[in-house]
Amino acid sequence: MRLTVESDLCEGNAVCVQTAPGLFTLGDDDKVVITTSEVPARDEERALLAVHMCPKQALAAD
Amino acid sequence: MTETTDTTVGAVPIREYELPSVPDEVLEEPFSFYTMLRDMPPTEIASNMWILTRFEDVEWAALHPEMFSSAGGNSWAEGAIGNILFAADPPDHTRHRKIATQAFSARRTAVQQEARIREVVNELIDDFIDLGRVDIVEAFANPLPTRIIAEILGMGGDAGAQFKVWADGLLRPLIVFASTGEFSDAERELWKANYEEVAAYFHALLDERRANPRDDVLSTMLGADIDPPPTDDEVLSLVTHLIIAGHETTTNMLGSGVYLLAQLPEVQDRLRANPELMPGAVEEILRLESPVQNLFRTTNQDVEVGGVVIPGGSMVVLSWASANRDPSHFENSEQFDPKRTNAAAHMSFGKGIHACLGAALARTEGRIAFEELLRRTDRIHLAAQPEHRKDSGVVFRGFQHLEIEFDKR
Repeated sequence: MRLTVESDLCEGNAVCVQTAPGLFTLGDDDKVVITTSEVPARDEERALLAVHMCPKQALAAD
Repeated sequence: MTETTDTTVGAVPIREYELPSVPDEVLEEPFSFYTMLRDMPPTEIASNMWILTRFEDVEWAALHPEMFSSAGGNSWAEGAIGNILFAADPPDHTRHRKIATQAFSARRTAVQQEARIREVVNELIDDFIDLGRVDIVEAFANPLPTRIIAEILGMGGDAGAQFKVWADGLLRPLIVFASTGEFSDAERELWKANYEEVAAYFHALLDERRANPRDDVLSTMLGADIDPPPTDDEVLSLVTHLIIAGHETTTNMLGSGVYLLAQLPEVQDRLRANPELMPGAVEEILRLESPVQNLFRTTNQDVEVGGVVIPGGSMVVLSWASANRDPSHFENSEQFDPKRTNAAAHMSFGKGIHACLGAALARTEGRIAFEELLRRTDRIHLAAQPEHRKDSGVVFRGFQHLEIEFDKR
């Protein structure tokens, strides 16, 4: 599974950082940074939860 | 219906309005009142005082600051803290926000504070874990956010202990004022004396940071990349604002969260077994028990919303707490569901240009607080009738005391 972010939509709510701390962090501009190119299988559930919970729907998983 | 012309913010004068008198029973349990209002079109609940309660209407108003003015809606705060941030409109607001956001970023306040928050949380729990019973507001929900925000603002040692007194002194009279319109001369004097102590302390701290800048909130505000550069008074106003907005709101979230979990033993057990559900649980706590229930705007023009025309110059209450339980936006909206996928779409942090600056910090404090509380206890349950704060008016909602019993794990 791979994660992508539409940075224009991200407003730094950091819900994803709370939900899946190993997969997301915030950059200097408070926009989300995806920290892994391929989500490990054991983290897929957390990753999907983070994608669904984003208040701006700025994240996607495929 | 009378109009005054002495209070003009934005395009039209603000009409003279009445504050609704809200019975104690409704303050104690406002949710059935909100449910009733959601079934009606936007309503004038007192003279020239309207309330929006449906998710769609509240969100729309929050996203249209050019029609719904915060400078007008919160002009009650002007005499005390000036027209800043939550009580300002663009372009002033845009400037304040830029200075504050660069400094009080989610990365700096939430991500970088994670370990320190966990440390403070566990220190506080250490103090009561062997007792089996505690007033969780006094022992935990009050001191945690107070200590964290004081540290983030760079206050050390004794000043940290002084912080709560200052913060309450800044906040309480404003809450009463916003809800009742009462701000006596005596109260105003007390408020001012307290404010001057805070101002003196932070002016000294700002001088120090200007001489020896660090990678912290105050230094970053002072050095904000904006033209003209921020003045000390501007930074002081912003600091005051962060203090007012940043302590009791989080206290309320923590107290209300423990209250909800105490009533839901099966949710407690589910979260103990699946701590990865905690971020969703925090969103549900925020959604169901919004620490800020309602905030004010004024209309800059006649505005049609929800099929009704609200005349220009009217006061409008945006009911975040009601929007959060709107069943047309949140399925089974009264239910606590940590797996609710749109839980974070709640309005407890507001929305749009005034959305809460401290949201990421609050979420982080909430998540860590409940992770550690549940990790170290079993069977949290209420030990006494909980007491909501009686002095929070229609703006805030939270507990004064919340006695719980628990087993140590």
